[in-house]
Amino acid sequence: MSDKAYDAVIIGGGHHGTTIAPYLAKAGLKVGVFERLDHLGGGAVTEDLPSPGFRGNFCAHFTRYYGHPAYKEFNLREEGLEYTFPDTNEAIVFDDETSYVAYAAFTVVDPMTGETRFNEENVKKTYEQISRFSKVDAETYLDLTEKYRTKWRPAFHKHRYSPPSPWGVPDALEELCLDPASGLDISMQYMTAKHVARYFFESDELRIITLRGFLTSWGVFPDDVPGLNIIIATIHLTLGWETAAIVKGGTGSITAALVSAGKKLGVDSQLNSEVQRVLMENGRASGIKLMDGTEITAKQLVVSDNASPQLFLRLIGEDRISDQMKRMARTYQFDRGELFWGTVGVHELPNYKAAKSNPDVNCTPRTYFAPKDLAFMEDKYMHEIFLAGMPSKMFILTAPDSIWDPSRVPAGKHSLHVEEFTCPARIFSRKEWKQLTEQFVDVLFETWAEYAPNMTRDNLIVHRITNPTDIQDTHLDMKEGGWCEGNCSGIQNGRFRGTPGGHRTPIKNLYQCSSGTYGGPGIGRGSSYNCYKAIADDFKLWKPASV
Amino acid sequence: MSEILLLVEAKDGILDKKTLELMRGAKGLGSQLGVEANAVVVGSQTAQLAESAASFGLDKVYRLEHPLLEGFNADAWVGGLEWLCGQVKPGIFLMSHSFVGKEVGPRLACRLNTGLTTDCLNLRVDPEDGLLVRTKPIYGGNAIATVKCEGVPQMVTVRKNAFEPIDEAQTRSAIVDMAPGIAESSIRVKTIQTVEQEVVELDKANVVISGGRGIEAKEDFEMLEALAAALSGSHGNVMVGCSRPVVDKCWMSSDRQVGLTGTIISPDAYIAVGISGAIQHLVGMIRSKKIVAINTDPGCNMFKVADYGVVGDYRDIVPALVKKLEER
Amino acid sequence: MKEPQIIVCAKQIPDPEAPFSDVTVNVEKKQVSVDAPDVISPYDENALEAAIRIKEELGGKITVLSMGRKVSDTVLRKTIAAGADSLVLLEDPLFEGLDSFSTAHVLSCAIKKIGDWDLVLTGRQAGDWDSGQVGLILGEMLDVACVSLARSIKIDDGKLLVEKTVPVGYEVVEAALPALVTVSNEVGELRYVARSKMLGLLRRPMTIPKWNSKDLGCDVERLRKLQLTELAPPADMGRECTLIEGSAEEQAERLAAVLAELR
Repeated sequence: MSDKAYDAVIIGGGHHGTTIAPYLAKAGLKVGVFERLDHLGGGAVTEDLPSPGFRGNFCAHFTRYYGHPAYKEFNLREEGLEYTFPDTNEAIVFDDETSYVAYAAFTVVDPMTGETRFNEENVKKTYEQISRFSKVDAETYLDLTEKYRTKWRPAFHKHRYSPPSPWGVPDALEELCLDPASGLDISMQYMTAKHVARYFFESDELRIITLRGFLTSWGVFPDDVPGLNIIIATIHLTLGWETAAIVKGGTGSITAALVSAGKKLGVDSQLNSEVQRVLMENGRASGIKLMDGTEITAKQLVVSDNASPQLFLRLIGEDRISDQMKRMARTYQFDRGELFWGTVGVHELPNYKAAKSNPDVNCTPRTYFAPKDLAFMEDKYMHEIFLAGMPSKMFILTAPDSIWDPSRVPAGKHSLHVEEFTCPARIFSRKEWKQLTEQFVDVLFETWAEYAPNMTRDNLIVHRITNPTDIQDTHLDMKEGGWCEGNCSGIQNGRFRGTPGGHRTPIKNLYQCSSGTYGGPGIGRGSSYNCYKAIADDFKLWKPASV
Repeated sequence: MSEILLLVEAKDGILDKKTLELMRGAKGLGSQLGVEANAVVVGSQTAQLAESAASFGLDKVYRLEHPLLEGFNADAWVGGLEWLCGQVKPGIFLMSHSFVGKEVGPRLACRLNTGLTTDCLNLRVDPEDGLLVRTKPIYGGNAIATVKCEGVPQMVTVRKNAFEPIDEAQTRSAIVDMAPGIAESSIRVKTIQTVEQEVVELDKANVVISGGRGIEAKEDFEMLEALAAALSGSHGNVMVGCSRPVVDKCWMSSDRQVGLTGTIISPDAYIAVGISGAIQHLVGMIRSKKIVAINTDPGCNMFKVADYGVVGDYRDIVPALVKKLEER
Repeated sequence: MKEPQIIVCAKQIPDPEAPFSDVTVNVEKKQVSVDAPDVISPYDENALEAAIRIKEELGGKITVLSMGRKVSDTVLRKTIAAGADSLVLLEDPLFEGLDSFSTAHVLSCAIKKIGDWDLVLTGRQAGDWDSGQVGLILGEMLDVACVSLARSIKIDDGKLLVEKTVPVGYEVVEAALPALVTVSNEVGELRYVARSKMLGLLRRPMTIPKWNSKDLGCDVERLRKLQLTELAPPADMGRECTLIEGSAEEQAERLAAVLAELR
């Protein structure tokens, strides 16, 4: 006997659970979301980090949710989701005091809708920045920017917000590769990240920032095979095309707005309600059973915001899936995207030595400081991380968000998010992770002060750095503690990510919307939106305006 | 099968509670197997202790007496007990999982060429082969193993609370004097100094406040001491304990350690501050009546076993709590 | 006096600090599997730390002895990084699943094969079975002075001086060498090895000698397997946790009320 019934039951109120819920509700379905933790949002949460008085993002940080169709669809601006848009975008400061700042080629003209315009002036500024170290790369920048504006950008947007095409039918990016004028080639889907960086750029500067960008955005190491969408997304970072965006109040504001919009449409979210099993009847998903024994009926469908291993091995069970699914779920790769990540509260912002010749490095939303050692990044960086947990040369990413969002800090203080990559949780013991994290903080400030002399320990008020065990312990779909719900490269990229069949699972009426499926990790990427489109097709539901 | 023997432990002439528990266990096994259940008291002057031990209805109490058995010297005790086992050939030999049991057990088992299982929660005899079936926690309490060992005597050390303490009996046990020969030369380890320290008996506390790896500095334990002081007016005996990493850092002595390798406690209230909840720690405090956890990490295991949880920084919460308690 | 030759026995076990959600008990196969990295048993790390401190004062050599199958090269190298001089691995299918007595027998054969030694250190107990037997039995088998629960170890003028934890505090005990000491955590944590040093060491080629039962000449007839008749998961310890929310001030107020109730 069931205890409650909904038309659509969503397992997990993570970022994609909270995104798909209002779509299903808007289609007229009665929607129930069942979340294990005491809060919604998954990786899209903001807490009192590093300590009360400050607000920091526990997981996801860089977001452009204003570009997601849901932003307009559910009037999220009205729900309190507000972005500010700095002109500076991406910066790197090198150990020889040279630097590079990229300015947004597309700036937002209407913050209510996220509408953008092409900004010639910023393009010129970025061109000049690159010309400082490479004329050739500066020309490449102009050429690629034009290709991006006319070809890559529309194809990328279409690719992100359309369900995967069946094998054999080219998707938007594959079609792009068939156009000789696009600058992209179909063979690029098999290039390693190192190969891509070398292919497009000749300077060490842009190659380094490209390789670090592959990591920042996707957890892809130099010898991994990123695939077409990751290549475009990463070059777009390197060259700073789309504007940086700072969300007021932190990433958790996205969740708050989505949850509020969903509530107005009748979405019922149940917290502290861990799902134990997907219930099936005659081979179709018919509901869920909670840990406390409660049974919930799904009159039409069940949507899982989980990665394949949890969904198929735990919630469905090996006895109810095919041998092929079992093998796929068991061998789902997690080994990427593990970080030392956290927030540091400081008295004053870093003042980089390089700012003397390039002042904007002090106020760029994504600022790296790193040695100008391409050979190390290409060949040794990952190996040292996997051997020792930390590389001997650090490529640190910082995000001084409090410049644009003072609501996150006590008056007159600042906070920065900091990040460096590390290895999967299993490689070290709990004690070693604690020791490594302490050492990371020491090395962080030692290194930082070399680039920005005021970044000594005296400038630090408080810090909270997490390591992969912190993520693994709180997020069941993030085994090994990576932020990206599994490796995003190679076979787990593009249409091959997750289950064969895209968002439709082999079990009838059971759909998968998590970032472990097509669309991949990151806030605002398309998996839940595309999953809804697949559901809308199958159930003849209302369809959102096509992208 | 021959008799069941248990090793008596006492402090200041008073029988240890764990010994009274063992007596009930031994008697139960004895009547089940139809053999004598006997005890041995060890020392240089054992008359009084033997009298105390004789009032619980066991069959015999052996007085294993020798000048070298004064106090507790492991070399002497192992030698003496080895000799006794040679004389009375017990079928089962029970010890408490105590300081003495842990030290004597393995060495004696080796000398007697038999197996030993330590820290048993439960004992029974397999009627088919007559061997003791021993239950013990492994992997820090994450699993409960049942094992058997060959060899005579069947030897175990038993955790406290495995049996109810025995009651005094009408019949007194026969007291049997045993005089072992122990050579001076067998004493290889000599105590040259005993340093008595103020020892905290956490299992006597009504409330225990423990700090763990999350405590950032040794000085921060002063906050926990302040909390203990604030509670002690209303809550009786309040003590400060810790989890293992704190002892490893030499911030606290091991008598304050709660957990599998420290003290196992069951106070009215247990307040865990900055303790993530490794299972070795949990098994030491899970029998607390109420558990309060203070931790920055909402996902940590301590919240799964706690009645009340506070997600936050102890450096903010504990001083605020002390203030509130003082205002009350 | 000559520089002390110290042997430290170190067991590899799954990380005992792993959360219980990482532990699976297979009742049918009678196996515990822990989805966590392997480490050196924590008390054995304490033993190594004690050995390194003696070496720092008096010189000498530290040999780490480890028995078991698939002992990780990386785990063992950490002992070298911390300050041990050499490693010996005892590996043989016959050594699997042994009881404490037989484990001690194998170790004693290896120690006799090493020959020149003054002091054997072991952890007070291993972090997986927590039996606390192998060290003391090994002492009996080697027929030497045997001290347990050391909180500090010194060699002074060729004599062993140990501070040993006892219920009332601690005792200072004395014994002649050679001797065996089991070490407790009061000795202090094994020193932290900086990652840069670890990196260098992990890259250095190193062959670790492996000895099997033939090499050791151990009495195979004496090797007994541990008889595990049953394995069960522990009773559920979970409780319903009421979270106290709000500012630190509000949390403290409500917590004070909760504590007042518990009187």
